Amino acid sequence: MKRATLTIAMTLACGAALANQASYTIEVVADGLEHPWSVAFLGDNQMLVTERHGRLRLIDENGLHETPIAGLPPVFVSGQGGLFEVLPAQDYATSQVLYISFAHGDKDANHTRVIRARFDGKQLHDVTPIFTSQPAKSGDAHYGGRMAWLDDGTLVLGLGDGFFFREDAQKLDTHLAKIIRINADGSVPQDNPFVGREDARPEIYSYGHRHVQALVVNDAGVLYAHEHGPRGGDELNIIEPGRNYGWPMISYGLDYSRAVITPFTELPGMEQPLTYWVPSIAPGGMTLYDGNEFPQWQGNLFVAALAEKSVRRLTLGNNGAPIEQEVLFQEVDQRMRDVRTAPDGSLVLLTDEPEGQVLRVRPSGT
Amino acid sequence: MTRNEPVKALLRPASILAFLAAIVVATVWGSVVQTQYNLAGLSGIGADITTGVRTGTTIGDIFSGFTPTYGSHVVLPSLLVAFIVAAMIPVQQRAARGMLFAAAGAVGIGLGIPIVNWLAPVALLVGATREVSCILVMALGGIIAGLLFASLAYPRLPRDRYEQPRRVPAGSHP
Repeated sequence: MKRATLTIAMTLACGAALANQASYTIEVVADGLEHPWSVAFLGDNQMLVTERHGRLRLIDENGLHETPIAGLPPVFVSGQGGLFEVLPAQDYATSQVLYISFAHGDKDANHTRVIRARFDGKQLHDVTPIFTSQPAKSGDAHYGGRMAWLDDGTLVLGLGDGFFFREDAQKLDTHLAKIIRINADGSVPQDNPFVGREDARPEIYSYGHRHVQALVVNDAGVLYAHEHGPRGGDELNIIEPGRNYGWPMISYGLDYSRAVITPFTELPGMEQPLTYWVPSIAPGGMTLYDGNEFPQWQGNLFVAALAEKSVRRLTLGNNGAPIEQEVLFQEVDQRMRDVRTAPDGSLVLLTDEPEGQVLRVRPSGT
Repeated sequence: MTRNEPVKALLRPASILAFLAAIVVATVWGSVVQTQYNLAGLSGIGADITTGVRTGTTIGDIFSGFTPTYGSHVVLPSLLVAFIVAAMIPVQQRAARGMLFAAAGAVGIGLGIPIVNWLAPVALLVGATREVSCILVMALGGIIAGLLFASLAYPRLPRDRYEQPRRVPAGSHP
């Protein structure tokens, strides 16, 4: 598909209401993607986009390639399940290795799986599963699937509670509702917090999450994660190894029926979020902006929001907690699944629609 | 009564009030039940659910947003369909009618919960009904609702208003 050059009519003037507002334009890079879920940059001119319906697509200077990248293993596509994140290895430039997460199995017994594979520019080779969440669960909701590299070269993966198994978030013998940490080859780092405990899975890094939807590491090595609450109670957290983030014992959200899921918002031994959203914005992907195109946004956290159909720009204080938020890009009027900082300093957005788009945000006048 | 009279009786003001009372009873019952299931889930993973917490949460669910959601999305449509169907079944005896509406109420809610859960855009509208037993216990509210409705909508007639068999002369059967 040809790269669309049409700049869609959305330039906002700088305002005085919020610090560091910027004027920008949004252009369509690609469209017609079926629920695009994550984007990864292979260089200045190449990006990979996953479609939840099980396709991995390449976009380069010629636009979106018609033919999906071959070599993906079977993906369980149902409900919230499907193809999730594509993440280049830290040494991708030399190894050409990708890490890909997806739902694996069927509706009665499924897992979140991570594979590593070598990408030759056209297809995947040497596909090797390196992690499969255990035990199998039923249903097709709350898989997690976001990944990030920690500074020490280990890989973290956010998982969900499968919706029907929320109490498992507090149990250490299951991967459900955890953030796990593994080495690049899938082995378990021996300094993981629960290694050696008979009653715990050794990959677990933190627990008590509901449905982790993004993981971002800053220059200081601090791991940020956000997760979906139920009706309200979406959370942004700083993740520390071995900590309990409380779900479902503490929450600022209600059941979809508005019933009380828990009467507690705070309990000893459980972490409080940096911030939480009531009503839910349903956060999607997240990026810590470090590009040069928007100098006034340096160091801000951008959170894609599905329900709010926006991207939240969070200005962080000295303790890493948000001190100010701006709602951006609502003029697009689409569910935002992902937001990333491109190598050229622009912001790239994915819209979660049956005919989803890849959008690029640049400063006005460039 | 003619065959259609029990159905027509549903449209009387007394029947409408009886129906509203039935909805309230079944909704409150369901609210109390699902709260106990949610709290049992928390207790099972170590939460300290004191009597005060239990009482406060139970009352909170009744008087907060759960009862309007459950009452309007599940109980009202379930009992409406169930009671219309029950009224179409010819039953003369009062006790049998009460049992009929009680059964209809229970079946209606017992089917209504999973149907509404299935139709809901979220994975499950009522989280506590992850447990099938929770659906069954919530459906018991339909029994109380059915008995209440039958007793209010079809009150016992005064003894002097009972229909007497019409005497006809011997040999003159129509």
